[in-house]
Amino acid sequence: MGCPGPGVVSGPALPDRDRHGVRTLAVCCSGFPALVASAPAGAGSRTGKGLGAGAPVAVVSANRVVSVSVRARAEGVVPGLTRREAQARCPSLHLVPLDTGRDARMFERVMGVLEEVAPRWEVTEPGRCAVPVRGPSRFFGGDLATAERVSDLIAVALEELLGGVGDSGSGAGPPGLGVAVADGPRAAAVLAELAAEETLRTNAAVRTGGSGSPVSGSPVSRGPVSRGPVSRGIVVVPPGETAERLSGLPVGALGAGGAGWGDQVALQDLAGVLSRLGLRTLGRFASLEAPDVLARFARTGLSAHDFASGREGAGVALEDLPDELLVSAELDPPAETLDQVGFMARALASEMHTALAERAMLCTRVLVVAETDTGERIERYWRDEGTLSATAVAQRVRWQLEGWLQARGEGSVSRLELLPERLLPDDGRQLDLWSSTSGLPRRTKEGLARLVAMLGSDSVVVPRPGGGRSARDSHVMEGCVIEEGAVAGGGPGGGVLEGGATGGRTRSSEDSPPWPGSIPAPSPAVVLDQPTPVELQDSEGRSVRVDGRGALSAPPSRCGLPGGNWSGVDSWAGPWCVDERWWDPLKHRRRARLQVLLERSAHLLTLESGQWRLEATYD
Amino acid sequence: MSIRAPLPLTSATRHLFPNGGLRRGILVDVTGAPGATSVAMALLSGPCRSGAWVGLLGMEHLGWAAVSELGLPLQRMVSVDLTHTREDSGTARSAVMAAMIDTFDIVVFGTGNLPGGALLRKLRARARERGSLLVSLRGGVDGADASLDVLGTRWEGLGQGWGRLGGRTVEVQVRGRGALDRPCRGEIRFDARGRPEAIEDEPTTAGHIPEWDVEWGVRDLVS
Repeated sequence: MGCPGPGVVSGPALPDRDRHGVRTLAVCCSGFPALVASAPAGAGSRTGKGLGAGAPVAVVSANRVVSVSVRARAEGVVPGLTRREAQARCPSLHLVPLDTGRDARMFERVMGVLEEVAPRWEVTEPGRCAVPVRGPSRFFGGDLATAERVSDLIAVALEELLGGVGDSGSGAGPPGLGVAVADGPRAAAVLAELAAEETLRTNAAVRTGGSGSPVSGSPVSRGPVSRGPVSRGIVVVPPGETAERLSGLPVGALGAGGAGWGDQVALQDLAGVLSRLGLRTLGRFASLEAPDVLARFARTGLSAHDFASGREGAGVALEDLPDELLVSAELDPPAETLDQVGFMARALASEMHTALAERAMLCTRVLVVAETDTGERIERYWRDEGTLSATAVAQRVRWQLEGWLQARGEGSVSRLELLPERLLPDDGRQLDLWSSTSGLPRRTKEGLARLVAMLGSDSVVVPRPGGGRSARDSHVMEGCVIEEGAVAGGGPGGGVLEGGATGGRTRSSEDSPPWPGSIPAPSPAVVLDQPTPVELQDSEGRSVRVDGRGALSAPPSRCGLPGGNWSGVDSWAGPWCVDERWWDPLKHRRRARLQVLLERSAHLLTLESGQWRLEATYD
Repeated sequence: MSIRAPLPLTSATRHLFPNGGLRRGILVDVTGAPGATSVAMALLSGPCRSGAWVGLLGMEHLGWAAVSELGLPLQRMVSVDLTHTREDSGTARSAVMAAMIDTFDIVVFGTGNLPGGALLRKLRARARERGSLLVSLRGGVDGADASLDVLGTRWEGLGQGWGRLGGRTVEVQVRGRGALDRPCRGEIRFDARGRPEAIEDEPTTAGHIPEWDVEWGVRDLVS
């Protein structure tokens, strides 16, 4: 395959890969999701609220804070907190759910500006990107000049895009921007992240009226540290010195650099083990022998060790990408809508995966090329360590094109190409003994996806254990999200319900916390959404009441069900009174519940505000 | 689970069906007095516990706590809720039903959700082809392959102002085609925790030896 793009060609033979990793420039825009979330409404943010620049914003996913705005950080909110902890630290915090699609669309527009520096940027996640820097540096006259250029461009682009969220007012562009050049993409990404963090800290120090001098001896020391009132967050490591620069960093940096470098949990575990072993810096870790690391920590450990010792990419076979792995499709007539392109991308991605599987290979990077009928060509690398499933690839194609369409797009897509790169041998995946992925049969998985596509995920719902005293609260219905081997509720913090093991354990009443005052099993099989009013009368035709001490005024003798049918009460028990949320005037509820067995049916009645209602039926 | 194997029943409901299992591709109507929902769910607990996926249409009022107590794994149950979908939204109900039959091993239609006439015939043909079991709750359908009629319920535990609802015994009559030609009456007992109980004096067909006896030779050991 010919690589038509000008500039850097990431192909078989790059000379400076021999001993060190590929010289790479990485950009980290710290807190990008929070920046997007706090952007004004017009700037493409879907929240439509326009929270304003100064508002403290935190983006949450699965009940954890994943990204915070500068203001929120000043209040002590940091990523990793739970929603509650974050709110406790900053009560005026705006919580916004994570929307990767939105972030990716916005970031794609930033990327459009960066194309001026180099083609074929590689995006790890919204807010982080990288590019081999050899060509651009030659053009711009050095790594530092390139890094400065990139930093300027991004600052301007973000300013434009997000409408002045550089809330410091110092004209220093958005806070938390880090640009690093080092030998190897991972080293560059980690250094960029650290630089971004450092910028945030110094900016905060300046803004809070401190002396304003950046901390001396900071990791950002190389490059023009204090150009203007705040540091620029640019790090350039001279060729061959990456290992030295990394050696002083704590092992916790293994988990930095974004999500593209392997399983975050595994990396944090690794860092924890290393520090407990007394290896507190990357330098100490790098001084271990590679075979020992491989024996003890397997592949995750080895790639981390390669990174720490500045030998990134050394163990990865990159030679001779087989041409037949390129999959492409002509779209004739050109696709007008993104849905069509997404559909095609998914088909291409599964074709690519089949081809890779035949060679027992995995790819960690995909080049997506889209051509339009107006002759434009949009190329982008997407990286992920081994987990780019067909769906994930299709999603990334969509992000890429959506961002492009929003920025300047007209025309329709006429050709789509996917080229897998950075191939690794596929070692296979060890399935758990108990949670087999065969739990969700193919038929069900595909059918559920079809149903969700037809009706939307709000209409295809799965029950999840809730909590409460009434039968209605015991379970909540959540939109169905299909994951590998299981179906999960889609709500915040919705864990995957095991779909696998035969006869798997239900989360029944034994597992859920007790709700004192709830009516014990058996539970009613029909629970009405809106309890319907009923009449309950004693033998003299008076309505039955419950007094303040929880006693019935008289034994009930007949019950008037909806529809005007009167039925005699055979037996009954109760009333069981419940006084819920008395501390909250809006949600306070006082109810009395009564089980009645009528001539043919058994019901649960509740009395609230003087009105008996049919709550549920033991059908 | 295999697409052709019959759906296994638990010991609480097995005695109602002569061959001890539910054939795939048939339509079962559960109807009659209060208790029908519990009976339908008790019927499904065997298949669902051995891995079948259940899709429910028009069952928004189902009490999930009760379903869980009946012993059904909720993680293999998906409810399709069309109450928020507008009638004119372009998604025909028939298409949804067809998609559900393609998706699930068992599709449950709530009261008033089972269509009639030609559409029902098409759906049943599709279910036969895909090997899905259709269950309708008070569907009012003539010519179901099997229909379970709930005749009555005896509750225990509730008195005149004391106790609470506990165990119950539901009397059921099964009618149908083929092997079910002869109406057969039986009882399903639910214990005080809402779980269907195995019937002690389970009528076994002549010459049938329970599998575990054959496998382990328990009878030999005891005698």
